[in-house]
Amino acid sequence: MIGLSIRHQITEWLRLATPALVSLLLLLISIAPWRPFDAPLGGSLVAASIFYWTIYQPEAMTPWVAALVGLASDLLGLSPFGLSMLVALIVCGSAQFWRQHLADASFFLVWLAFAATSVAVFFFSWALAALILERWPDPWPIALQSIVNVALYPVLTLLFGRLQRALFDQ
Amino acid sequence: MRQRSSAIGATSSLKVWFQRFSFVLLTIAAFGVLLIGKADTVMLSRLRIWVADSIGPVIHVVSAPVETARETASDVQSYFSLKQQVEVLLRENQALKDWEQQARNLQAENESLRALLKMAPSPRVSFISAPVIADASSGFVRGVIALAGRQHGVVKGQAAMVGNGMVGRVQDVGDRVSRIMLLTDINSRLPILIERTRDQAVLAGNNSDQPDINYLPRDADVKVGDHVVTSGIGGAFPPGLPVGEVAEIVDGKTYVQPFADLGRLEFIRMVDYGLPGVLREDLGIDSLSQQFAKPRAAPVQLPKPAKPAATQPKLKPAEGSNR
Repeated sequence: MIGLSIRHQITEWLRLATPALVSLLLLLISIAPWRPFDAPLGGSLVAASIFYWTIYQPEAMTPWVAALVGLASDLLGLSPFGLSMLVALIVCGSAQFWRQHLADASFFLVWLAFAATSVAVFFFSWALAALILERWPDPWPIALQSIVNVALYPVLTLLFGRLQRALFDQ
Repeated sequence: MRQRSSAIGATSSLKVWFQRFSFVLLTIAAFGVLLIGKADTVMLSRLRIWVADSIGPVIHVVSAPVETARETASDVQSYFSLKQQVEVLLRENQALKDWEQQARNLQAENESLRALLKMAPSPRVSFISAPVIADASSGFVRGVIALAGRQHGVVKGQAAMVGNGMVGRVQDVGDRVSRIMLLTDINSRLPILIERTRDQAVLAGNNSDQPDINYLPRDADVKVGDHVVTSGIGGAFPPGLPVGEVAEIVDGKTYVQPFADLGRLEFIRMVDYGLPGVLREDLGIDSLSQQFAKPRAAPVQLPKPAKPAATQPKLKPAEGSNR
């Protein structure tokens, strides 16, 4: 009986940790030395993961988890230090803001909300990067990263959906 | 029943309050992190390389299947064009043999001229080859992580190269891995030379695939296709390392396409030319105190300003007599 409850606790903990682990794995995959598109992925896949899990499993993707995932991206040197953490918080905050309307909405609407968030994130990070770097960085590579990110969202959603059904719908 | 529902309401409102408080707290923390990153760059680079060092093996494992997929794809591709490739290689081999002969002649000539001039031999060049395990690039930075570090002899500031050109420089070194700042990074500045015109300038990264040339003389006659090599100024790298070629000139800005395919790096060579260059300042050694410590520099430099002063009075009467 005790063994069962410990096992139950471990699986419960694993289920709650999965969104964070998936986000970190995506971070590592996005820095693999292979560039399928012209733009580097540069950890942008993480935004899709944070957005998805905040809407569908908010207890597993809290602002703290999102901030830590963002900080991991910062520590890998993918952006000016602290920028990814802020972006992760914006994505998480935006998803939480729309959550009540999006949780049961059609996929297309969720995708649209993610695209809108990505546009906001693009302008915010471009302006903040200019402040940190003390010059205007070329907006195109940042925009391209956002476009790739929005374009890949449906594929990632498919994977996340399968994982979610396997882990959470029991 | 009412008591229970009010208790649930209180818990949920507490939950909402806590979540909002978390957001505010974390946003303040993130801005704090931003400020720390801006203020203490030395600590930040140590922290980042420590993280890269620790998770280096994990990155290597994660990127392995991706690398295998890429290799398989290129294997299949090359299998279908074997005949064509052999022809191209045969032609290239012939051209390279001609170049080899020329290089041998030039080397012999160079050696005899050096002997005539009693020149000191160039410092010994050493290489460290390493696989690239991560493409740590984004819209904000351009860099890669290579699987070779301090224990393999990598030193901060070494040139990073591939077969056909310069890639960047070693930015941070950990025990097992090192971070390379690519030429295209917004913080990269490389003293260069236009090979044909001998105009000196600085190649500045801008986070796009084509860095642009700064400080080019106004009368410089640069054309698309001109080769760009390192100038050796600053002493960080030797002159003549191939960098890229002028790709386009738009609105007075000259863009360079690096010879190396920076988006698809597999192996890089860290090259030590034994030139300390500007890195002394990077390492925190006070260059001023070093200058003062060398009293020999003063007497050599003193007569220099006297020269123009002596020639000026001579010029003036000459000008006056012309009028």
